[in-house]
Amino acid sequence: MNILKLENVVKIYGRGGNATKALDGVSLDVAEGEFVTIMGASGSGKTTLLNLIASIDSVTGGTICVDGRDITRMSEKELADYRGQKIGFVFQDYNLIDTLTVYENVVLPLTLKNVKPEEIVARADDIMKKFGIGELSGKFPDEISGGERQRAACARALISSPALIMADEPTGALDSRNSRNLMELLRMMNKSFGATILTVTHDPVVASYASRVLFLRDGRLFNEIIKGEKTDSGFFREITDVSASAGGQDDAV
Amino acid sequence: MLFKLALRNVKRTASSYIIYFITVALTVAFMFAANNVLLSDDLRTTDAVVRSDLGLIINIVLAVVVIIVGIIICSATAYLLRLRRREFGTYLLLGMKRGDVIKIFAVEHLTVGMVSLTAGLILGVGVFYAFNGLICAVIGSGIRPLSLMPVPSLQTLLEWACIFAVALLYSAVKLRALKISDLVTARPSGKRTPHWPAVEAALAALLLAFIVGDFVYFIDALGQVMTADGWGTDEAYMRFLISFPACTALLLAAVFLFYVCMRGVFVWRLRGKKESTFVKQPSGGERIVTCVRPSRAALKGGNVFYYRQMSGAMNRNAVMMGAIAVLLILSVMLSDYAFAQRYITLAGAERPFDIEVGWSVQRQTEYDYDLPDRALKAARSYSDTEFELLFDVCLADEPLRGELDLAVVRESDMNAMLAGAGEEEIEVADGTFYILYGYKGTVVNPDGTREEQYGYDGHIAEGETRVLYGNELAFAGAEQDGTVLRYARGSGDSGVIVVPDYIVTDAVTETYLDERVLLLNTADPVYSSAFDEYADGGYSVYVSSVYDEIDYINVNSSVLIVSALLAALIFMCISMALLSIKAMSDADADKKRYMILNMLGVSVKRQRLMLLRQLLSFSLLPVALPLLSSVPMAIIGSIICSFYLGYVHSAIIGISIAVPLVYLGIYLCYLAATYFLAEKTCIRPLERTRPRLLI
Ligand SMILES: Nc1ncnc2c1ncn2[C@@H]1O[C@H](COP(=O)(O)OP(=O)(O)OP(=O)(O)O)[C@@H](O)[C@H]1O
Ligand SMILES: [Mg+2]
Repeated sequence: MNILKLENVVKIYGRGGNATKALDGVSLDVAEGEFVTIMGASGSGKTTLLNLIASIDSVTGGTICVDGRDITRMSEKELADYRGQKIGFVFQDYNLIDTLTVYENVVLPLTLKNVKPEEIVARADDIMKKFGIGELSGKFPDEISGGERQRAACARALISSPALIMADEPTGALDSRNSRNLMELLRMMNKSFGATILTVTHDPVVASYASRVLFLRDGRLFNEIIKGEKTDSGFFREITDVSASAGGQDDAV
Repeated sequence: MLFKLALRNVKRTASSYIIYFITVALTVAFMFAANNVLLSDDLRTTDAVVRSDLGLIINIVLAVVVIIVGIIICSATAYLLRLRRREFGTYLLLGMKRGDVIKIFAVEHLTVGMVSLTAGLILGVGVFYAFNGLICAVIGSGIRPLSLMPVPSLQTLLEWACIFAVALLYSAVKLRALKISDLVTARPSGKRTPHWPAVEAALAALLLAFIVGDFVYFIDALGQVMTADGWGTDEAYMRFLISFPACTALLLAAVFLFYVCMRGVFVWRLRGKKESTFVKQPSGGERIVTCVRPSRAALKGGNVFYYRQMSGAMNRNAVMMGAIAVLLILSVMLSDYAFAQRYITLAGAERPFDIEVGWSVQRQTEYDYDLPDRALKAARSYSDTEFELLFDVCLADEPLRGELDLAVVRESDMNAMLAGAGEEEIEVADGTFYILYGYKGTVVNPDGTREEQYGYDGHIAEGETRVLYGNELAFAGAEQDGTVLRYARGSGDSGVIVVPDYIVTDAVTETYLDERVLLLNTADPVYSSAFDEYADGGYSVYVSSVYDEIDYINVNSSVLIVSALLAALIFMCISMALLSIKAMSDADADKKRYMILNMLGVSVKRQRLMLLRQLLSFSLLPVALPLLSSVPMAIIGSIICSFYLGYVHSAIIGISIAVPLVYLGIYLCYLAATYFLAEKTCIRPLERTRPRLLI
């Protein structure tokens, strides 16, 4: 059963001579419980793709079906519900609310859904401990480091146990130990809760946690590697090879 | 080049300038209208204004308004500057001269200023005629319609030229003092949370109690001094004299502090208890980790966001909110007072007879006995009369005069007077006399001591006889009646001897006439000046027309009302403008926050509700107390009213309901505009980022 089905998705920013074709006919199927990573050079359209799936941006052409429903035809209200109920999104630039403390940011999705305070507290304590940000609970986003911000953003995305988790370079600001922690956590969400995960990364190590790696170039999918029965190191080597040929490694900042 | 850039900036920052524009235009309009009313020669030379100190009051009100408007425009200008410090910093970084940056800002600002000023003047003409209409229609006959004058109009322009100049100078100084680093890195917006939210919350509650107590104390002091039988004791009077300024000052201070402390309330509501736990360290050993959780209330339905937004907004704008609340309370009080005093004084002017003319005989000259009759005929030519009475007041002859120092009036005259005043008539049989005596007055005894006494001490027994003008008359009784006696002048209020008509013959009046009194009720106004030509002829003449007094009250109260409304409307305008500018700039910062909420699955509809809740709480808080203050103001008005009139005029209650309602109405309109703009800033762009090409 495909939880996600993209057909010929086109995204054009701007109009006329100024237009940028960020996505140029992307078709993609993701099965429930898959762990997919998208790689590609800077500007190749990765963030655009995730934003479209998360319905933060609207498509220029094509359809995106989630659970068999076409989100490009949903009303604003339905989309909001979709974002609130179905998905968890970790943004490339974190998007924490600056006036709320770390704790308040993390619990925000649950309080918006009117979850019982006891349950909120229990879940928040649990997830904050997992991300090692328990002691930051009273601090504000501009009082913590970039990596801590990223972990807080992850905790916020995961706290409501969404069925579809999307993360835009979630390890971009993390050291290797924290990167590993986060990926293990995502793997755990994937394995134990059956959450479908879609991440974007430039890092082949991070990518190798996935069960499938997709490569984007100039707004088109041009390659895909499936882990299948491959060994971790074999999978990793294949990823590095393909991403080198895609120019991703060289262009990445 | 600079001019073009400035113009483009105005277009781009239109939304913050819209508020600025509306404020300046409205304030200019009110000031223009009020200047034209209050400074008009017609009004200034009115007897009532010349007689009282109103001219001075007007000048003070106008000066205070100009100063406050000046301060506000300065701070609004500085505020608009601060909004764009980053932009100006970038200009400086790119090598633009500081002077040029100031020029850009000045050109920009003056452009908007001139446009607003023009709009304000045009609007001002309308407001002027509205004020005029209000004065002429509602207030009544006291004032002729005024016309627009060049001098007050020019004065308005001059005042605004000064205000703009000072505001520009102020912002130029600020801009010059700023370092590039300050300009480029927009500084964080102050402290995020108050240090002692619980203390501030408790203080706010305490201050609220204090405000209530302040009113209760003042009302009590007022009640003590304005008692049913006149001004209370000396101590009560002293207490009142002290408590009036003290209570007012303390009230305003408490209101100001209350709003400053209110910021703590939201943080206090938000803050849950801290919990410390020991956490094992990877390196071995344990560490205390403190978790700061929000309170249960905050965890419900996105309240965390609301509380944080509110505490942030209140924290940034605490002082401004306090100032606004004080200005608004003053507005409510001034307008309540201005209208109440009009109704009280007008009702106080009511009397049984509209016009009273008294001709006292001056003994040393011959007098013209027919003069009062001619005056009565003249009065009839001015207006139809509904009641007319011309009667004689004579002095008693000795020895009765030595015993009772009371005037003598014919029975028929006295009964006509009583009937005219709607009182019961008296019967004086032939051969008897009757005494009507007035209220207690102070009598100085020969030894210098003072005594409170009635005009008649009741020493004559019924049936005892006295001789008056050679007739022996039996005493038929005495009665107290203060209302009518003040019209039987001669012997003042102390009392009159009422005798059968035949006693007062022509021969008696020839010798003993003390005064002729004319009482009139007329259909149309007849002013005292109508009797000017009948003020000679060997009399000393006393003329009193209620129409003079009504005019006097009307002029006075219209000046007071216009002044109060001017101050109130301008304070309202300014308060709303400040709030809106702040709300708008907050909206700019809120844009990102609402976008994140949207990404987290909050629908646009719910975002709108959240924004509305935030805006309503933020904007209604500072008007809540001022509007509520109308309740104690109504009580105070009732006490003063029943002291002067003996009853509570329904207008007092009407005013204290109408004034806050009108202000609330104006305020809600302004709020709707602010919400519309804020919504446009905060919520619309999210929809716009998703061009609906397919849907
Ligand atoms: N809002 C926008 N308006 C116009 N063009 C845009 C917009 N957002 C992205 N683009 C363009 O679309 C293309 C794809 O951008 P996108 O953000 O998806 O890249 P990315 O793969 O996420 O890059 P990176 O690895 O640097 O994050 C880029 O050329 C970018 O300039
Ligand atoms: Mg990106």
